[in-house]
Amino acid sequence: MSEVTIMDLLDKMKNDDSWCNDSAKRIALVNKMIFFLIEN
Amino acid sequence: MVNTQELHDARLADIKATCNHKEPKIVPILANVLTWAIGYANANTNEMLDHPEKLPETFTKFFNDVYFDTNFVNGLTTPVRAIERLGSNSFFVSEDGHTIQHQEHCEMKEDDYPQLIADPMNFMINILGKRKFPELRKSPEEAYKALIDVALNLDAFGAANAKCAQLAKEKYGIINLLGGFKVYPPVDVIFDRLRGFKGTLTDMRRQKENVIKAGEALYPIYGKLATYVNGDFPYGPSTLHCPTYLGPKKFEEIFWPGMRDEIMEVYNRGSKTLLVMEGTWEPYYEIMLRDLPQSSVLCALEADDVIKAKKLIGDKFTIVGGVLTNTLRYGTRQECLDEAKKIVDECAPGGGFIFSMEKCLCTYGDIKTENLIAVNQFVHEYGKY
Repeated sequence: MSEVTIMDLLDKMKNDDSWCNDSAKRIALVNKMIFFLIEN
Repeated sequence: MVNTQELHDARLADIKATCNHKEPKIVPILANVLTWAIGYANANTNEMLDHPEKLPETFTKFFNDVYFDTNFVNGLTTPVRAIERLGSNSFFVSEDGHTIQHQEHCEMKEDDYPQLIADPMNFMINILGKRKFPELRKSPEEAYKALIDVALNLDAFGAANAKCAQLAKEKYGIINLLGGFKVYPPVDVIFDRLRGFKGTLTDMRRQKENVIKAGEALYPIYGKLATYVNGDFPYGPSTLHCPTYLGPKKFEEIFWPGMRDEIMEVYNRGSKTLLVMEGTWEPYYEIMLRDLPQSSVLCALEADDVIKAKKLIGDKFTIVGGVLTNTLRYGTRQECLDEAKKIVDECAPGGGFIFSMEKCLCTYGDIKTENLIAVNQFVHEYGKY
Protein backbone atom coordinates (compact mmCIF):
# COMPACT_ATOMS: atom_id res chain seq x y z
CA MET A 1 0.00 0.00 0.00
CA SER A 2 1.44 3.36 -0.98
CA GLU A 3 2.00 6.13 1.57
CA VAL A 4 -0.73 8.78 1.94
CA THR A 5 0.85 12.10 1.02
CA ILE A 6 -0.07 15.58 2.23
CA MET A 7 -1.25 16.41 -1.29
CA ASP A 8 -3.56 13.38 -1.12
CA LEU A 9 -5.06 14.79 2.07
CA LEU A 10 -5.45 18.25 0.54
CA ASP A 11 -7.19 16.72 -2.48
CA LYS A 12 -9.49 14.83 -0.12
CA MET A 13 -10.35 18.10 1.63
CA LYS A 14 -11.46 19.63 -1.67
CA ASN A 15 -14.22 17.02 -1.99
CA ASP A 16 -15.18 16.67 1.67
CA ASP A 17 -18.20 18.80 2.53
CA SER A 18 -18.19 17.71 6.18
CA TRP A 19 -15.93 20.63 7.13
CA CYS A 20 -17.23 23.25 4.69
CA ASN A 21 -20.33 22.92 2.56
CA ASP A 22 -19.39 25.61 0.04
CA SER A 23 -17.35 23.89 -2.66
CA ALA A 24 -15.85 27.10 -4.14
CA LYS A 25 -14.76 28.22 -0.68
CA ARG A 26 -13.29 24.78 0.06
CA ILE A 27 -11.16 24.86 -3.05
CA ALA A 28 -10.04 28.44 -2.37
CA LEU A 29 -9.05 27.57 1.19
CA VAL A 30 -7.14 24.48 0.13
CA ASN A 31 -5.29 26.54 -2.47
CA LYS A 32 -4.46 29.07 0.24
CA MET A 33 -3.20 26.23 2.42
CA ILE A 34 -0.73 25.12 -0.22
CA PHE A 35 1.12 28.43 0.07
CA PHE A 36 0.66 28.43 3.84
CA LEU A 37 2.41 25.04 4.03
CA ILE A 38 5.26 26.22 1.80
CA GLU A 39 5.77 29.55 3.54
CA ASN A 40 5.56 28.65 7.22
CA MET B 1 -17.12 68.70 5.86
CA VAL B 2 -16.00 66.10 3.38
CA ASN B 3 -17.74 62.76 3.73
CA THR B 4 -15.78 59.53 3.99
CA GLN B 5 -16.53 58.37 0.45
CA GLU B 6 -15.43 61.71 -1.04
CA LEU B 7 -12.30 61.62 1.10
CA HIS B 8 -11.58 58.07 -0.06
CA ASP B 9 -12.08 58.98 -3.72
CA ALA B 10 -9.87 62.08 -3.47
CA ARG B 11 -7.11 60.08 -1.81
CA LEU B 12 -7.35 57.36 -4.44
CA ALA B 13 -7.07 59.93 -7.22
CA ASP B 14 -3.96 61.41 -5.55
CA ILE B 15 -2.30 58.01 -5.13
CA LYS B 16 -2.94 57.01 -8.74
CA ALA B 17 -1.69 60.39 -9.94
CA THR B 18 1.56 60.34 -8.00
CA CYS B 19 2.28 56.69 -8.89
CA ASN B 20 1.93 57.68 -12.56
CA HIS B 21 4.32 60.61 -12.08
CA LYS B 22 1.68 63.30 -12.19
CA GLU B 23 1.40 65.80 -9.38
CA PRO B 24 -1.45 64.98 -6.99
CA LYS B 25 -3.29 67.62 -4.96
CA ILE B 26 -1.44 66.58 -1.83
CA VAL B 27 1.39 64.23 -0.88
CA PRO B 28 -0.21 60.90 0.17
CA ILE B 29 0.87 59.52 3.55
CA LEU B 30 1.24 55.75 3.89
CA ALA B 31 0.94 53.83 7.19
CA ASN B 32 3.73 51.27 7.41
CA VAL B 33 2.23 49.76 10.52
CA LEU B 34 2.08 46.16 11.71
CA THR B 35 1.47 45.08 15.30
CA TRP B 36 2.30 48.58 16.60
CA ALA B 37 -1.39 49.22 15.95
CA ILE B 38 -2.30 46.62 18.57
CA GLY B 39 0.01 48.23 21.10
CA TYR B 40 -1.50 51.62 20.28
CA ALA B 41 -4.92 50.23 21.24
CA ASN B 42 -3.43 48.91 24.51
CA ALA B 43 -4.24 45.35 23.45
CA ASN B 44 -2.01 42.34 22.84
CA THR B 45 -1.47 40.15 19.82
CA ASN B 46 -2.28 36.84 21.51
CA GLU B 47 -5.71 38.21 22.36
CA MET B 48 -6.23 39.14 18.70
CA LEU B 49 -5.11 35.70 17.53
CA ASP B 50 -7.51 33.99 19.94
CA HIS B 51 -10.40 36.39 19.30
CA PRO B 52 -10.05 37.56 15.69
CA GLU B 53 -13.45 39.24 15.91
CA LYS B 54 -11.80 41.90 18.10
CA LEU B 55 -9.12 42.69 15.55
CA PRO B 56 -10.85 45.18 13.20
CA GLU B 57 -11.81 47.76 15.86
CA THR B 58 -8.52 47.27 17.69
CA PHE B 59 -6.20 47.43 14.70
CA THR B 60 -7.76 50.54 13.14
CA LYS B 61 -7.96 52.60 16.34
CA PHE B 62 -4.83 54.63 15.52
CA PHE B 63 -6.56 56.17 12.52
CA ASN B 64 -8.58 58.24 15.01
CA ASP B 65 -5.46 60.08 16.12
CA VAL B 66 -2.72 59.79 13.50
CA TYR B 67 -3.24 61.21 10.01
CA PHE B 68 -2.86 58.73 7.16
CA ASP B 69 -4.27 58.51 3.63
CA THR B 70 -3.44 54.91 2.84
CA ASN B 71 -2.12 51.77 4.48
CA PHE B 72 0.08 48.89 3.68
CA VAL B 73 -1.22 46.05 5.86
CA ASN B 74 -4.65 45.32 7.29
CA GLY B 75 -4.54 43.31 10.48
CA LEU B 76 -2.06 40.53 11.15
CA THR B 77 0.30 39.08 8.56
CA THR B 78 0.96 35.68 10.12
CA PRO B 79 -1.63 33.08 11.20
CA VAL B 80 0.36 32.01 14.25
CA ARG B 81 -2.31 29.68 15.68
CA ALA B 82 -2.55 27.72 12.43
CA ILE B 83 1.22 27.24 12.44
CA GLU B 84 1.12 26.13 16.07
CA ARG B 85 -1.67 23.65 15.27
CA LEU B 86 0.77 21.82 13.01
CA GLY B 87 3.29 21.59 15.85
CA SER B 88 5.66 24.29 14.60
CA ASN B 89 7.06 27.27 16.51
CA SER B 90 8.45 29.08 13.47
CA PHE B 91 6.45 32.18 14.44
CA PHE B 92 5.62 33.36 17.94
CA VAL B 93 4.45 36.45 19.79
CA SER B 94 7.36 38.29 21.37
CA GLU B 95 7.63 39.17 25.07
CA ASP B 96 6.47 42.71 24.25
CA GLY B 97 3.03 41.22 23.59
CA HIS B 98 2.80 42.87 20.16
CA THR B 99 5.49 41.75 17.72
CA ILE B 100 5.15 38.50 15.78
CA GLN B 101 8.68 37.12 15.52
CA HIS B 102 10.09 34.55 13.15
CA GLN B 103 12.72 31.95 13.86
CA GLU B 104 14.29 30.31 10.87
CA HIS B 105 13.31 26.69 10.24
CA CYS B 106 14.68 25.82 6.83
CA GLU B 107 14.41 22.07 6.38
CA MET B 108 15.65 21.82 2.80
CA LYS B 109 19.16 20.33 2.67
CA GLU B 110 21.96 21.24 0.29
CA ASP B 111 21.57 18.02 -1.71
CA ASP B 112 17.79 18.38 -2.11
CA TYR B 113 17.97 20.58 -5.22
CA PRO B 114 17.41 17.75 -7.75
CA GLN B 115 14.16 16.80 -6.01
CA LEU B 116 13.00 20.42 -5.87
CA ILE B 117 13.83 21.00 -9.53
CA ALA B 118 12.18 17.75 -10.69
CA ASP B 119 8.85 18.34 -8.93
CA PRO B 120 8.73 21.48 -6.77
CA MET B 121 5.19 21.01 -5.47
CA ASN B 122 5.80 17.41 -4.42
CA PHE B 123 9.03 18.40 -2.72
CA MET B 124 7.73 21.49 -0.91
CA ILE B 125 4.42 19.99 0.24
CA ASN B 126 4.90 16.25 0.63
CA ILE B 127 8.54 16.08 1.64
CA LEU B 128 9.27 19.40 3.36
CA GLY B 129 5.77 19.54 4.84
CA LYS B 130 6.47 16.42 6.88
CA ARG B 131 9.91 17.63 7.88
CA LYS B 132 8.55 20.98 9.10
CA PHE B 133 5.28 20.04 10.75
CA PRO B 134 5.21 17.29 13.43
CA GLU B 135 1.42 16.97 13.22
CA LEU B 136 1.69 15.96 9.55
CA ARG B 137 3.98 13.07 10.47
CA LYS B 138 1.22 11.43 12.50
CA SER B 139 -1.39 9.01 11.10
CA PRO B 140 -3.31 10.13 7.99
CA GLU B 141 -6.43 10.56 10.14
CA GLU B 142 -4.65 12.79 12.65
CA ALA B 143 -2.91 14.77 9.90
CA TYR B 144 -6.22 15.24 8.08
CA LYS B 145 -7.88 16.59 11.23
CA ALA B 146 -4.99 19.01 11.73
CA LEU B 147 -5.26 20.25 8.13
CA ILE B 148 -8.98 20.89 8.50
CA ASP B 149 -8.36 22.86 11.71
CA VAL B 150 -5.75 24.91 9.85
CA ALA B 151 -8.15 25.62 6.98
CA LEU B 152 -10.84 26.82 9.39
CA ASN B 153 -8.32 28.97 11.22
CA LEU B 154 -7.09 30.53 7.97
CA ASP B 155 -10.69 31.28 7.02
CA ALA B 156 -11.35 33.15 10.30
CA PHE B 157 -7.95 34.86 10.12
CA GLY B 158 -8.56 36.07 6.56
CA ALA B 159 -12.06 37.25 7.41
CA ALA B 160 -10.78 39.34 10.35
CA ASN B 161 -8.14 40.98 8.15
CA ALA B 162 -10.72 41.67 5.45
CA LYS B 163 -12.90 43.40 8.05
CA CYS B 164 -9.92 45.56 9.05
CA ALA B 165 -9.63 46.70 5.44
CA GLN B 166 -13.35 47.32 5.21
CA LEU B 167 -13.42 49.32 8.44
CA ALA B 168 -10.37 51.38 7.44
CA LYS B 169 -12.09 52.26 4.17
CA GLU B 170 -15.63 52.84 5.38
CA LYS B 171 -14.97 54.57 8.70
CA TYR B 172 -11.75 56.44 7.93
CA GLY B 173 -11.68 56.75 4.14
CA ILE B 174 -8.34 54.96 4.09
CA ILE B 175 -7.09 53.57 0.78
CA ASN B 176 -5.98 49.96 0.98
CA LEU B 177 -2.95 50.23 -1.26
CA LEU B 178 -2.32 46.52 -1.77
CA GLY B 179 -4.40 43.47 -2.52
CA GLY B 180 -5.27 40.55 -4.71
CA PHE B 181 -1.88 39.55 -6.05
CA LYS B 182 1.74 39.55 -5.05
CA VAL B 183 5.20 39.41 -6.56
CA TYR B 184 7.34 36.85 -4.79
CA PRO B 185 10.54 36.25 -6.76
CA PRO B 186 11.39 32.53 -6.78
CA VAL B 187 14.92 32.98 -5.40
CA ASP B 188 13.52 34.94 -2.47
CA VAL B 189 11.28 31.92 -1.79
CA ILE B 190 14.43 29.77 -1.64
CA PHE B 191 16.12 32.30 0.65
CA ASP B 192 13.11 32.90 2.93
CA ARG B 193 11.41 29.54 3.09
CA LEU B 194 13.58 26.71 1.87
CA ARG B 195 17.32 27.12 2.44
CA GLY B 196 17.57 30.19 4.64
CA PHE B 197 20.18 32.91 4.80
CA LYS B 198 23.32 30.82 5.28
CA GLY B 199 22.22 27.95 3.04
CA THR B 200 21.17 30.09 0.08
CA LEU B 201 24.27 32.29 0.09
CA THR B 202 26.49 29.20 0.35
CA ASP B 203 24.60 27.48 -2.48
CA MET B 204 25.04 30.53 -4.71
CA ARG B 205 28.79 29.97 -4.46
CA ARG B 206 28.96 26.18 -4.49
CA GLN B 207 26.04 25.18 -6.73
CA LYS B 208 24.90 28.32 -8.51
CA GLU B 209 23.40 26.40 -11.44
CA ASN B 210 21.11 24.48 -9.12
CA VAL B 211 19.88 27.71 -7.50
CA ILE B 212 19.13 29.15 -10.95
CA LYS B 213 17.34 25.96 -12.04
CA ALA B 214 15.36 25.86 -8.80
CA GLY B 215 14.27 29.46 -9.38
CA GLU B 216 13.12 28.51 -12.87
CA ALA B 217 11.26 25.47 -11.51
CA LEU B 218 9.46 27.60 -8.94
CA TYR B 219 8.45 30.30 -11.44
CA PRO B 220 5.28 28.57 -12.71
CA ILE B 221 4.01 28.37 -9.09
CA TYR B 222 5.00 31.82 -7.84
CA GLY B 223 4.74 33.63 -11.16
CA LYS B 224 1.08 32.66 -11.19
CA LEU B 225 0.47 34.80 -8.09
CA ALA B 226 1.50 37.82 -10.16
CA THR B 227 -1.28 37.12 -12.66
CA TYR B 228 -4.12 37.75 -10.19
CA VAL B 229 -4.27 41.41 -11.16
CA ASN B 230 -7.72 42.98 -11.18
CA GLY B 231 -7.54 46.32 -12.96
CA ASP B 232 -5.12 49.16 -12.35
CA PHE B 233 -5.64 49.25 -8.59
CA PRO B 234 -4.91 48.04 -5.90
CA TYR B 235 -1.23 47.36 -6.38
CA GLY B 236 0.60 44.22 -5.23
CA PRO B 237 3.38 43.83 -2.67
CA SER B 238 6.82 42.33 -3.09
CA THR B 239 8.78 42.03 0.14
CA LEU B 240 12.40 41.51 -0.86
CA HIS B 241 14.85 40.11 1.66
CA CYS B 242 17.72 38.53 -0.26
CA PRO B 243 19.08 41.11 -2.76
CA THR B 244 20.88 43.35 -0.26
CA TYR B 245 23.30 40.46 0.41
CA LEU B 246 24.11 39.67 -3.23
CA GLY B 247 25.94 42.43 -5.09
CA PRO B 248 25.12 43.43 -8.69
CA LYS B 249 26.63 40.37 -10.42
CA LYS B 250 24.77 37.70 -8.42
CA PHE B 251 21.64 39.87 -8.31
CA GLU B 252 21.47 40.20 -12.07
CA GLU B 253 22.39 36.62 -12.86
CA ILE B 254 20.50 34.68 -10.19
CA PHE B 255 17.80 36.84 -8.61
CA TRP B 256 16.69 39.43 -11.12
CA PRO B 257 15.26 37.29 -13.98
CA GLY B 258 12.39 35.90 -11.88
CA MET B 259 11.75 39.22 -10.17
CA ARG B 260 11.78 41.16 -13.43
CA ASP B 261 9.43 38.71 -15.16
CA GLU B 262 6.90 38.82 -12.32
CA ILE B 263 6.96 42.65 -12.24
CA MET B 264 6.41 42.68 -16.01
CA GLU B 265 3.54 40.20 -15.65
CA VAL B 266 1.84 42.71 -13.34
CA TYR B 267 2.72 45.70 -15.51
CA ASN B 268 1.41 44.06 -18.68
CA ARG B 269 -1.87 43.41 -16.88
CA GLY B 270 -2.18 47.10 -16.02
CA SER B 271 -1.13 47.34 -12.37
CA LYS B 272 1.99 48.13 -10.37
CA THR B 273 4.19 46.45 -7.77
CA LEU B 274 5.23 47.95 -4.46
CA LEU B 275 8.78 46.77 -3.82
CA VAL B 276 9.70 46.59 -0.14
CA MET B 277 13.43 47.00 -0.69
CA GLU B 278 15.01 45.72 2.50
CA GLY B 279 18.60 46.81 3.09
CA THR B 280 20.53 48.67 0.40
CA TRP B 281 19.44 48.66 -3.25
CA GLU B 282 21.45 51.47 -4.77
CA PRO B 283 23.83 48.96 -6.46
CA TYR B 284 20.84 47.67 -8.45
CA TYR B 285 19.34 50.99 -9.59
CA GLU B 286 21.00 50.79 -13.02
CA ILE B 287 19.61 47.30 -13.66
CA MET B 288 16.13 48.37 -12.63
CA LEU B 289 16.27 51.55 -14.72
CA ARG B 290 17.44 49.54 -17.73
CA ASP B 291 14.79 46.79 -17.57
CA LEU B 292 11.62 48.21 -16.01
CA PRO B 293 9.09 50.51 -17.71
CA GLN B 294 8.08 54.00 -16.65
CA SER B 295 5.95 54.13 -13.47
CA SER B 296 5.89 50.33 -13.16
CA VAL B 297 6.94 50.07 -9.50
CA LEU B 298 6.83 51.84 -6.15
CA CYS B 299 10.13 51.67 -4.26
CA ALA B 300 9.71 51.51 -0.48
CA LEU B 301 13.25 52.18 0.70
CA GLU B 302 14.81 50.97 3.90
CA ALA B 303 18.56 51.75 4.09
CA ASP B 304 18.80 53.81 0.89
CA ASP B 305 18.79 57.61 1.15
CA VAL B 306 15.32 58.71 0.06
CA ILE B 307 16.42 62.08 -1.36
CA LYS B 308 19.30 60.55 -3.30
CA ALA B 309 16.99 57.82 -4.61
CA LYS B 310 14.50 60.43 -5.78
CA LYS B 311 17.27 62.06 -7.82
CA LEU B 312 18.60 58.78 -9.24
CA ILE B 313 15.44 56.78 -9.95
CA GLY B 314 12.53 59.03 -8.94
CA ASP B 315 11.69 60.22 -12.45
CA LYS B 316 10.89 56.65 -13.43
CA PHE B 317 9.76 54.93 -10.21
CA THR B 318 7.65 56.16 -7.29
CA ILE B 319 9.68 56.68 -4.14
CA VAL B 320 8.14 55.68 -0.80
CA GLY B 321 9.95 56.99 2.27
CA GLY B 322 10.08 59.61 4.96
CA VAL B 323 11.38 60.46 8.40
CA LEU B 324 13.54 57.66 9.78
CA THR B 325 12.06 55.62 12.61
CA ASN B 326 15.21 56.36 14.65
CA THR B 327 14.44 60.08 14.39
CA LEU B 328 10.82 59.43 15.32
CA ARG B 329 12.02 57.40 18.29
CA TYR B 330 14.91 59.51 19.59
CA GLY B 331 14.57 62.92 17.93
CA THR B 332 12.84 66.04 19.17
CA ARG B 333 9.59 67.18 17.61
CA GLN B 334 11.44 69.95 15.77
CA GLU B 335 14.11 67.57 14.44
CA CYS B 336 11.36 65.34 13.08
CA LEU B 337 9.57 68.26 11.43
CA ASP B 338 12.81 69.57 9.91
CA GLU B 339 13.57 66.16 8.41
CA ALA B 340 10.01 65.86 7.07
CA LYS B 341 10.15 69.32 5.45
CA LYS B 342 13.47 68.58 3.75
CA ILE B 343 12.16 65.29 2.35
CA VAL B 344 8.92 66.81 1.07
CA ASP B 345 10.81 69.75 -0.51
CA GLU B 346 13.17 67.40 -2.34
CA CYS B 347 10.88 64.49 -3.21
CA ALA B 348 7.39 65.87 -3.84
CA PRO B 349 7.91 67.99 -7.00
CA GLY B 350 6.70 66.21 -10.13
CA GLY B 351 4.84 63.48 -8.23
CA GLY B 352 6.21 59.96 -7.91
CA PHE B 353 6.38 60.23 -4.14
CA ILE B 354 4.50 58.81 -1.15
CA PHE B 355 5.47 59.86 2.36
CA SER B 356 5.96 56.98 4.81
CA MET B 357 8.72 55.58 6.98
CA GLU B 358 11.54 53.20 6.18
CA LYS B 359 10.67 50.40 8.62
CA CYS B 360 7.34 48.95 9.61
CA LEU B 361 6.25 49.58 13.17
CA CYS B 362 6.02 46.37 15.19
CA THR B 363 6.01 47.26 18.86
CA TYR B 364 4.52 50.29 20.56
CA GLY B 365 7.94 51.51 21.70
CA ASP B 366 9.34 51.69 18.15
CA ILE B 367 8.67 55.43 17.97
CA LYS B 368 7.38 58.33 20.04
CA THR B 369 3.78 58.48 18.92
CA GLU B 370 3.60 62.25 19.47
CA ASN B 371 6.40 62.70 16.92
CA LEU B 372 4.54 60.61 14.34
CA ILE B 373 1.34 62.58 14.92
CA ALA B 374 3.20 65.90 14.50
CA VAL B 375 5.07 64.78 11.37
CA ASN B 376 2.04 63.41 9.56
CA GLN B 377 -0.08 66.45 10.38
CA PHE B 378 2.72 68.69 9.13
CA VAL B 379 3.15 66.75 5.87
CA HIS B 380 -0.59 66.71 5.32
CA GLU B 381 -0.72 70.52 5.59
CA TYR B 382 2.63 71.36 3.98
CA GLY B 383 2.55 68.77 1.20
CA LYS B 384 0.00 70.58 -0.95
CA TYR B 385 0.86 71.09 -4.61
